[in-house]
Amino acid sequence: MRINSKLVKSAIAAIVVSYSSVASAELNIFACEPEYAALAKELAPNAKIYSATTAMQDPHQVQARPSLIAKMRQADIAVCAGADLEIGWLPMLQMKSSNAKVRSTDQGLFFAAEQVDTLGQLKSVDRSMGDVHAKGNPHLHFSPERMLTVAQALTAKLTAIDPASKADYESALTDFSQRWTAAMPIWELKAAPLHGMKVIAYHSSFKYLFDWVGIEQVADLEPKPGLPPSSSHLASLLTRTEAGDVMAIILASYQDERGAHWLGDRANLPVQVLPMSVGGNEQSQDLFSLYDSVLDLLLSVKAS
Amino acid sequence: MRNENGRLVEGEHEEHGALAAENEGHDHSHSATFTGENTYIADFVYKWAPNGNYKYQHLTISGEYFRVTDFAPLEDDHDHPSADSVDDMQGWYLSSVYQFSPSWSAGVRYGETDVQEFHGDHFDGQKLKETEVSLAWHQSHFSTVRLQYTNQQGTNYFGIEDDNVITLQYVMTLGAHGAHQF
Repeated sequence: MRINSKLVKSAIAAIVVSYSSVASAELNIFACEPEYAALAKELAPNAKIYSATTAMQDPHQVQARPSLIAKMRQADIAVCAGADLEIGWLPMLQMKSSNAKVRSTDQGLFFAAEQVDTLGQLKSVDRSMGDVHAKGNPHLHFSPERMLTVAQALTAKLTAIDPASKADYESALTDFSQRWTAAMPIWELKAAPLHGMKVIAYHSSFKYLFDWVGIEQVADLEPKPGLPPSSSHLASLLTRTEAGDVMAIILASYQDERGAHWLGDRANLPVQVLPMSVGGNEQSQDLFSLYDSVLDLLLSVKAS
Repeated sequence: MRNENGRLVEGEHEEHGALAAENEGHDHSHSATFTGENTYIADFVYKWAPNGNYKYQHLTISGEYFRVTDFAPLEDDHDHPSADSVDDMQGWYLSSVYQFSPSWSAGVRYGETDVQEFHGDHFDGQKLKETEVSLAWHQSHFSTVRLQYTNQQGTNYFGIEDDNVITLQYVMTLGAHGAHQF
């Protein structure tokens, strides 16, 4: 059989051309956590976005599995929380994917924590303190003001990597900022009854949320950051609840509920799981509905 | 993996001069015991965690298979056995470890090796079947205490016939270290 070589050549040429045009039109964004995938979707709606983790996965402990390496290899931009949250796996992905585009923050790597003032920065850390972050708490996506700053910085990064679509990114940022700043006072009004509420929580996952709405975390289910609740520590928390001021036990969607239920049953306190990120419960489909859902759940605990 | 020099050599008497002098007082060989011209390796790791959340529970299954071929010496001036007269050497294991809480994990492992010992004019088959169970307590990411029971069933395998071994290990990691591989 004789193959028409001209036809084959032009077909290959057509595939190559269409592939390269797709590649330039579609920015490939690798998000370490779903909240940054959601933010990227707001700011670059046409981009191809992949989230390395879900709201059900603890981002401190992620396996640098081959599929993540493959995704990182294709990325033009990597958007992560930073402040060493991903220190256990992101460097391995960077090394194994050998993608120069996302190797350093001078290029396509973006750390949200570097754009804002983080809470809980420490001057010196050592192992006896547990898994602490010297650069501060990385779970900053529950601070609406910081997220706005992060959105601006991410838009600048997108524009630097893909200058051709500058106008698109700027209009997306304007649109997002308008909706976000409009939502902020509504959220704050809604959250007003939560002010002064005292809770026991797991890790400092909701430090920014509590800081924003005025909830006080009086104790932590973890004896030290990163260590699971021990029975002796839970017993000391039970003693703490006898003061009667703690109103609830708060967990993130990826945290183990056993210790919390043990304490909740004995201290007669409600245990509430909050979505840690977009996709953490049915209601949380984007950043806006995530905030709505978290506030609704906290208000329902307060009312009970 | 291909190693042109991988074929087995016959004991000490092939070593000359300085090397032989250096080896004086030794009655054993320092060369690789099981080696050949071609080594084939296949391995895999599979990990699973509920919802992909590795912190509280996860399962790791891993396995490895080795096959060594073309190890019989080429020279046929001695009474060497021909390469065809002996089976290939092979070994494999399958292991499964389940971490059922952040600080406890249990594992089982089974492996077999089927190798040939070279005796100059003939090969002796050597076999080992090994079964292991382990229980580990992870006090933190930096220290682990592991209790392990091993049963070894050997056939002409360095004097191992039916061995039961209980091992208590303390594994310690000093200082900060980089991210782990998959």
